Amino acid sequence: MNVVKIKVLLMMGLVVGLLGSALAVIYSKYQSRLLFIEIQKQERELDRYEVEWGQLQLELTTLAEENRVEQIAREKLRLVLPQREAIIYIKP
Amino acid sequence: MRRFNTQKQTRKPVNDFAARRKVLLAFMLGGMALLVGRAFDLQVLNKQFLKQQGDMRHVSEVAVSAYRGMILDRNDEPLAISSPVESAWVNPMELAEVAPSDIKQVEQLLGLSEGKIAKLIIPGSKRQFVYVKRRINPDLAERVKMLSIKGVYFDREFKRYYPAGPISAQLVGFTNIDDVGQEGIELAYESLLKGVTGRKRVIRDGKRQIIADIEAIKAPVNGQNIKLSIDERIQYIAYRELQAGVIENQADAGALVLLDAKTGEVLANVNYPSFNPNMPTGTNKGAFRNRGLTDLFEPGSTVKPFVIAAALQGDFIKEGIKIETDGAYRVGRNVVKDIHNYGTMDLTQVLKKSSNVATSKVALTMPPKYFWGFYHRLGFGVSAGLDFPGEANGSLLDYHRWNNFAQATLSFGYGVNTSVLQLARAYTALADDGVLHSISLLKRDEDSDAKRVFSSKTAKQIRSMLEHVVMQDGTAYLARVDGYRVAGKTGTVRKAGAGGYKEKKYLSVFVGMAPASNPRLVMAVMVDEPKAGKYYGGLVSGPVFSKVMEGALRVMGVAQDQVETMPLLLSNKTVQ
Repeated sequence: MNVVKIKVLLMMGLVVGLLGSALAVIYSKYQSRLLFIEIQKQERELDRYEVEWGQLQLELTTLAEENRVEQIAREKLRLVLPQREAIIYIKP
Repeated sequence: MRRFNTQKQTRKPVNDFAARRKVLLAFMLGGMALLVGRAFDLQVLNKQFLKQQGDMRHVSEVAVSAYRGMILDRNDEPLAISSPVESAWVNPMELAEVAPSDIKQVEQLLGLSEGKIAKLIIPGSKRQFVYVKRRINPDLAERVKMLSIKGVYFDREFKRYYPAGPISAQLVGFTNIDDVGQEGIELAYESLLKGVTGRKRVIRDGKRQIIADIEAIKAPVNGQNIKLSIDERIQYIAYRELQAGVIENQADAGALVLLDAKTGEVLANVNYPSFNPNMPTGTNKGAFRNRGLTDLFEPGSTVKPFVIAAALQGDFIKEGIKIETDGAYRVGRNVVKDIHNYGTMDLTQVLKKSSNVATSKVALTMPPKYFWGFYHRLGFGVSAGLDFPGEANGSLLDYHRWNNFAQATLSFGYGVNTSVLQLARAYTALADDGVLHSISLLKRDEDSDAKRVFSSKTAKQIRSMLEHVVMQDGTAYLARVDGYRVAGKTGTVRKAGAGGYKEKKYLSVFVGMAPASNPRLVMAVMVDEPKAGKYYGGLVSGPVFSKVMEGALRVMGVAQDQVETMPLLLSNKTVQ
């Protein structure tokens, strides 16, 4: 009699455990889907930023190109290299 | 269990279950028939439909392209950048089902001529992949994707941009349409730059657009950045001045190499004529060549300082020696000549006036083996080991096959072949007090492979002699740099070609260093076949040297050392 009772209890425990783990699996699967969607979203975002970064970098290097800088300095801002005679050297 | 067993034992055997068996068998047979029927239905009757459906919900693997590493200069300024673009391709078999108006719309958006895509649809053709337009702006690709037309796809690719354009074109090189390095650094460091393409598993929808990622099979590994020793600012100045020099002298070409005298790093390496690496097609192939690294020439008078150095170092001559020149010197059956008869000269004058006779006499005081060994240790005939594609080894005649005349001609730079880079490398020994540096195109803090080839005393002696070359009555007054002491040597070399040395075809060379009191920079300039009248190294290459050196010293922030000529010198005490 006692043995049967223990068996039934054990069985019930296992059934409950099984149900619990099944639910946990479903839940974690659901979570992982949510996370995966999130990852994909972030990856797309990252990709977009990378494209933008590349373009900005190009823009920056184009704008800071030596030739262009020199032209603006000389023609627009009228900068000149000072004559050597105009430089006063200070030696400590 | 025991109880169950005892029960079984008490049962009487039953024999007749025929009816039950029949029912059971019928059940099983029915089930089998059902399975076979269903299988037939799926495999034979509905195969076409199901296969199509399966393909539609296709799970497939796609490549994830990796970024190609950047090429940077020493201050992290980019010399080559990859930017993502999209390449459009079509599957003609699928396009057959698309309305012609849709195709026309795609053609318009992509800027293709009308019918370009439409004519790819050939009934019966099995082609499934044709690029229609490569490397388009991602925004434009997005707009075409919005139309979601079946059979039109986009692949992520990278376009390589070279912001410096022609300035560093031969050094950096370029990639082809598949992003594989073709020349220069792009080719030399291809394996480091390219990265590893990743793969991921995706689900595609009925239009074969990717609708979801399932998993990453292999993450892409981006290529490494390569940090060069080049300084883009100096590179720009060098290119500008070399270009001006070549054009002014109506020369064929020019090459310039600027080295850091303490570390052996290449700070500038420019060539003219150049090309636009952003669109290399259609360029004259000669412009692709990095002449400074790959082309060989006879260095001419620029090796003379080493002859004097060798003789002083080996104690074959004394510093105060006077040499009779008489304008010509008979060596065996040949005669070595000078342009003028310089009479009796000391060593400084020999270099200042660049006397062939005097250097030949000095050279012939040395045993061939010693003389050869000295040249060899300076790197003549030895590759600089940069792993640069097409890099020259140079050549130096073996001393066993020398006669006296060969030794004499070697002393004024014939019979030895060197690149501009190798010549500049040899001069690092004069610049860094007798220590010859190894050369690096990559940024580094110190040279771990430097070796002493002659004493510091010899180097200083030669350097002070070479300072006279850029003085008013020297051969290269135009190579001087205001405010800095410059030491250097000119070379005007008859060009050798088929059938011997050519008349009136010269290479104008100047090699020098500054500031001479403690050289930081070594530069070699070579101008090929100037045709505008002037051809002396000091007149053609000297001015280029002067302007580039001036700019480079300023960029590097090197203090002036020509103290006595400074316009105004104040001490701290007098500044209020």
